[in-house]
Amino acid sequence: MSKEELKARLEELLTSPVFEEGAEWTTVAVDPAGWGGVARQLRSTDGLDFDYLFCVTAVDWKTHFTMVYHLTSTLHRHVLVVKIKLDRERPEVATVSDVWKTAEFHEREAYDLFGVVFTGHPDLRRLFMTDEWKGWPLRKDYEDPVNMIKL
Amino acid sequence: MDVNSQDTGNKPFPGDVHPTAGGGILVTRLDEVINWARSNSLWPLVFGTSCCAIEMMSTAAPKYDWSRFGFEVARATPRQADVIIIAGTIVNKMAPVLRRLYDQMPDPKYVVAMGACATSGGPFFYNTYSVVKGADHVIPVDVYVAGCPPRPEALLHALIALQEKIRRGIP
Repeated sequence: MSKEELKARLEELLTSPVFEEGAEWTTVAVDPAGWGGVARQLRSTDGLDFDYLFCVTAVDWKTHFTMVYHLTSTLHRHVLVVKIKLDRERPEVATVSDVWKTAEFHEREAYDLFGVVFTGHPDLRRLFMTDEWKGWPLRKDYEDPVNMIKL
Repeated sequence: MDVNSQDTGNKPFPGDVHPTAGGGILVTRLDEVINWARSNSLWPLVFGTSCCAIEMMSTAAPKYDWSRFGFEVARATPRQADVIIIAGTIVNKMAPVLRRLYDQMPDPKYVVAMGACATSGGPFFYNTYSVVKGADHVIPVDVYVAGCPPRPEALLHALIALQEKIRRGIP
């Protein structure tokens, strides 16, 4: 499906979606409250069939967090990027591990390094850091006087 | 036979049998023979933690071919290795593993810190929570190689420098 066709389909599916221009892939902003339902629709709607979540990213903008989900369809080979803006103090969003199984580990990574809480995740534990580790190392305001030499 | 008749001005080859006035007595220092033998058959451990390992593999491959200097018998077990080339970043999680590998190597054992990360933490020196700032915090290092990553020529130079150290009985 071409970018224009994909956008048109998303216009039908979502209520007034906000697209980001100038990117290589079609990028759409989604409200955190509706994300669980949107994800399920993206996967199951005929013609969209986003059956493969190939990247989950968290970005710390200091004022807020952004979750970035890269989706593709192994059937149609089109790509969609979903961005979700999260509150800096209470970064919480619904899990999509029930929609795409791979999200289980991706979300654990984002939780481990950024402290983003995925509600409904079956096993939200630290992934890379030790279980007793304090803090979220990839946040911009992270401090570690023992291991880190500040420049 | 006159002892001095063989003196050609060259450095004596270790292990030479020198005829002496008293008869055919083997006059040499045994440790020199041992060091010479050791230095020419250093078995490296298969160990690489990041991009330096790619350069190390290139050094082993036909173009640079470190077997010319006696390094070709790379071992996948520390129990059969003589030298560990720390080819890459050592993170806090890897440090105890590196220590254990070093402890499992039989004596005499040698360590080459390859590249900026193994030497000092390199590009990860500042503002990093996870990287050991130099592998010499974990195990003693004999030779350091500069570079990010060092070219194969630099690694070969380091290995030859290590051989020279062993021959002189320095480590």
